[in-house]
Amino acid sequence: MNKRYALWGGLLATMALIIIVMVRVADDDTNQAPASAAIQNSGTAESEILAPRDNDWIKGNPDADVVVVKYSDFQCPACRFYASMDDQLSQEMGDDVLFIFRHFPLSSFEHSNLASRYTEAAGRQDKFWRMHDLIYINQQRWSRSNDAESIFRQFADSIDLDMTQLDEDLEDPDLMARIRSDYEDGQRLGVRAVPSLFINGEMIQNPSSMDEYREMIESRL
Amino acid sequence: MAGTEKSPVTWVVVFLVIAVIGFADAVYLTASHYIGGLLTCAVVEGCDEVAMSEYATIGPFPVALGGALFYAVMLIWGVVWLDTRKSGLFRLMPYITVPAFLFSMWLMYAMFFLIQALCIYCLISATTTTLLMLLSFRFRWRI
Repeated sequence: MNKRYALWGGLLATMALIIIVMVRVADDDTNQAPASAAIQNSGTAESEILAPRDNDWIKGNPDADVVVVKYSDFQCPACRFYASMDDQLSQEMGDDVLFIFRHFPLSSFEHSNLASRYTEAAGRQDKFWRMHDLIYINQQRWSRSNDAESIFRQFADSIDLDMTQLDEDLEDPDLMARIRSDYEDGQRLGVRAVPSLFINGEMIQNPSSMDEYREMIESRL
Repeated sequence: MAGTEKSPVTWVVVFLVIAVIGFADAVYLTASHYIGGLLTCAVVEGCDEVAMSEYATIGPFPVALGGALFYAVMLIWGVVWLDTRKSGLFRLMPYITVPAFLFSMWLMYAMFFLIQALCIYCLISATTTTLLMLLSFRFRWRI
């Protein structure tokens, strides 16, 4: 009987231990600080990646003193929260700050990549931000759906996108390459979770409130 | 030279150790999926590319979750044998290990030829699945 307890107890303890350790390791990977020293040293490569580009999706003044680059995922709930804060701060601070959006679609979310493709395709018809907003505002609706694409198509239709052009763009390898390129740039910068924010080239700990976020930006003005 | 051959218990312990490795690997991948982080790529680069691919999920579920369940069943099976020592227990095991092996080979094909990136965690899982399948045949005939 003792042997039986030892066997089954040992099995349960081993499995429980593995689950606890592996969940902690995975969690640490997510929260692991980026290679902050490398980024703070502002190596040339990092500065180049973070510098505003002509084809970036921007909100605000391109010549602003403060530039916020955000690597974000459309299906991550925290990213929705930060999208709404960015929008509010952009309206409040006007020309003082420039917000740049970059894609970082995580594999763990089923529809993230598709959402990125729809925003990029909408961007080709000058409606990136409208699609961006619709996708974030309605995140809870489509993220639980088995057919997120039909919801994205409703959004596209509601903002009067040319659907034939949209379909062509969605399949364009260049469009997918751009998303992939953003993702790879994020990896080079040490992005390990979303959203990841860089203010004037420095990766910051994500602010937990609007006031903290505002303060972080204002302190750099 | 049957006298020098390892006892069935030794083989079942080897089987359990392999299943523990596979279970840890699959639990890590499953946890990363649900926590939403990136994988730490070790030895070879490309695990994120594989984990980001459409082959990493079936509907809303990560493939790794199926892997974790498979290894959990293997662990329980091995312990049941150590507990009861019933010789017929392993007869049915290949009905699970062979489909798992074939599915694992399909994932290897997808990784090498469709995604064209390497994922160390997937390689570990393919190795453990293959070894468990080989051992399951040994048990079927020898225990």
